[in-house]
Amino acid sequence: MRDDYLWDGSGEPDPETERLERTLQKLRHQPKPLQLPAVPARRQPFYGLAAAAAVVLLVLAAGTWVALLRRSHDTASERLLTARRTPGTLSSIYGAADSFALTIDEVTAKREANTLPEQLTRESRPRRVVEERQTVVAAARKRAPLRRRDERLMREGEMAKEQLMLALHYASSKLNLVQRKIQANKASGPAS
Amino acid sequence: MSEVEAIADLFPISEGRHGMTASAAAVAAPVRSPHASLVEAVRRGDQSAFTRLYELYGPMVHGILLARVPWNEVDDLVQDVFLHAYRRLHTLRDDNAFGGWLAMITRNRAIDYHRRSRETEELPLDLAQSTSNATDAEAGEAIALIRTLPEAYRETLVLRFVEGMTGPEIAERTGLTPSSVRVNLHRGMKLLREKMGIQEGT
Repeated sequence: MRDDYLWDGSGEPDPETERLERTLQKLRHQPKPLQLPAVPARRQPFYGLAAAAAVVLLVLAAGTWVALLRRSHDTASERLLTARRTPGTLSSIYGAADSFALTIDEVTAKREANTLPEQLTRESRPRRVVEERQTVVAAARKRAPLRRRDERLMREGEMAKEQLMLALHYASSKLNLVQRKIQANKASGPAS
Repeated sequence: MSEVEAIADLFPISEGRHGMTASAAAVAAPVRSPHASLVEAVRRGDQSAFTRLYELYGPMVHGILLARVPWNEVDDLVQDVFLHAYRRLHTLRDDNAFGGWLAMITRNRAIDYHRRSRETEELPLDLAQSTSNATDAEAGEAIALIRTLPEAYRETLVLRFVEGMTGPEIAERTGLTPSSVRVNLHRGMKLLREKMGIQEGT
């Protein structure tokens, strides 16, 4: 077969190729009328859709941001209120000098500054604190709706732990004070 | 041109004056398809321009489908392909690439046909045509034989022998390079002759 004929139909075909071509021509495309829809699809709707999606995303993002802000604000306020709702508990630990109700942050600041009052007696104040906390927790359990109970219990637990640690710290301080006084008395000799 | 020359055309060695081969220079230069203006007119809503594209590219679509699906399904699928192309024309980025884009749609439509349809037996050609004779049966046998060839060869041979397109026309319409078309034609024809039991050079 001549390559030129195969490529562009020029030149002499060999008989077999010519026969094959003549035979296969019967299957050639016979165009039928094409029924087209009225309007071809345009690209513009894509931009409208993209703009709408962008607006929806912006609204969602703004809503989420506001919700997060409110939630963090509520949590902080609730913690402050919970700490202040039990004035007797903390002020009794610090003695008469602290006649007002202290918040957790103030207690922590005092502890860090090592300015805790040391004039506590040996009475069973830690036990009182724990008992008070248990009462508060029990009351809170009754008041709180069931779905918020776990969250509130966790907060109350943290509060109780904080106060227990404070009580232990004061008990230890008091013990040290007593020991120092005993040693001082021994050093100065028996009272006459 | 021999097969060796055709392959050499695919991988040119000699370099031009500016270190670029003639083929590479041809590729680098922006080529404006003669039918790009028709595509542009269709975008503007000119339906008659699409009818003109249908006349120009109908044989290509028909040939590509005939190489892949039963002949009695081809006409319906040709209509499907053009309607799909008409609806999706806004997704075509380069108007000059319309031919290659349409060929790809056609190949995908053929694949989709085989995926969705159950296995069916193709009707013999002379059963459906009113003028049934020995030549119809021969055409059916020839096309069946071509379909046993690798996909690239059968598509090019059908476009050449059934649709009567020349090599340059096949390249222009399908978006293939002329060198690829030439190699496919040559190798496909060689394989076909072997299957037909024709000796080379007779």
